Amino acid sequence: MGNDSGGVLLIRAWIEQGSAEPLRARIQATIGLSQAPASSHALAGVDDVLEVVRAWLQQILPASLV
Amino acid sequence: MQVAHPHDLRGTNHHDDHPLVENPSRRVRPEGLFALREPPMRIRLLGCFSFSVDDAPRTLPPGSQRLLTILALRGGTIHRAQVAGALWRDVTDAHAYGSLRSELWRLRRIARGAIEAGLHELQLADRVSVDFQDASRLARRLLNSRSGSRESDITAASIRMLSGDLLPDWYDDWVVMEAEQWRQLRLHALEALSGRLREQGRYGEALDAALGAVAAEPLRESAHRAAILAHLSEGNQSEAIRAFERYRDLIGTELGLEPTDCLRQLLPGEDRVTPP
Repeated sequence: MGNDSGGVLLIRAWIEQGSAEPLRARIQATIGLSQAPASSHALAGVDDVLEVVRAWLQQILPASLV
Repeated sequence: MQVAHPHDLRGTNHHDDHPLVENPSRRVRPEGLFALREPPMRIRLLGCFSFSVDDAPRTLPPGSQRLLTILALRGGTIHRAQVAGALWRDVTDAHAYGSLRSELWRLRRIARGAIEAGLHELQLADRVSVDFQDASRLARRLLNSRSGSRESDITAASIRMLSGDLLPDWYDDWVVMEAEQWRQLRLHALEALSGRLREQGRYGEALDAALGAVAAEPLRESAHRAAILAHLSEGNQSEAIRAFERYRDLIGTELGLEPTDCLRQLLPGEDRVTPP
């Protein structure tokens, strides 16, 4: 899935006071030259957000560099 | 071409004092019988781009749309270098400046008087209004607890103004950042407007404003809170409970979480909410 044209990742994050997991985020990502977001994720918690960011970075990294 | 940071592109709202630059504030305007009416122009950026002169729509090529849009978003004066750098990123400075001059020439032919072009700076003419700027001012008034909003802001028309995304199909860096900031601003403003409408006993409109915020971000609890409060204020407890349950089901499915206790405690018959 490597692609040397990069991509764009947009994170919308907000806090829900009083929740057991107050950090909420919606992530939209593109890979390659596509302009419209190719995937969208609704998440709660720092670790889940970081996991999606890491997976996206791995996707845009050319296979030869992994 | 060196790309300016999106925030560096904001207008400065002053006119260039260069002697060779026409300063609109110094123009002598004809008066009385000889006054020429300058037809108003309108740029729409919420929902989709459109441009009209005297309420008559005009079709513009994509390059002209982008040039008008960057000036409309920033407001005030912007240096030509910043505009050229944002619109033509991957070319040399000379090429970008040339493209900007070509675009200005094209716009003069199809939308004469829309842009005031100085030697170094550009800005929209005074007769050009922008829906996004109007809506941003409305949102800030609604959120400003000190000066407060005007009575004329508390209307169904305001809900419509705050319900549009900024150029949702445009993915340029200088649009995306503005679009996200607008999205945050309008979410808060819709919730504030819902509260003001509720205070006035206009529960149907209060619910519309709240649902506008829910539509913009379905996982945002404060938007659902505004909707539930509108139902409760109207004495519609069963609708309030249904709204709560819809939100609870949504965040349960999407995030595996429960609504906060604060939201749950809004419901008078808390124990009537069926457990998940």
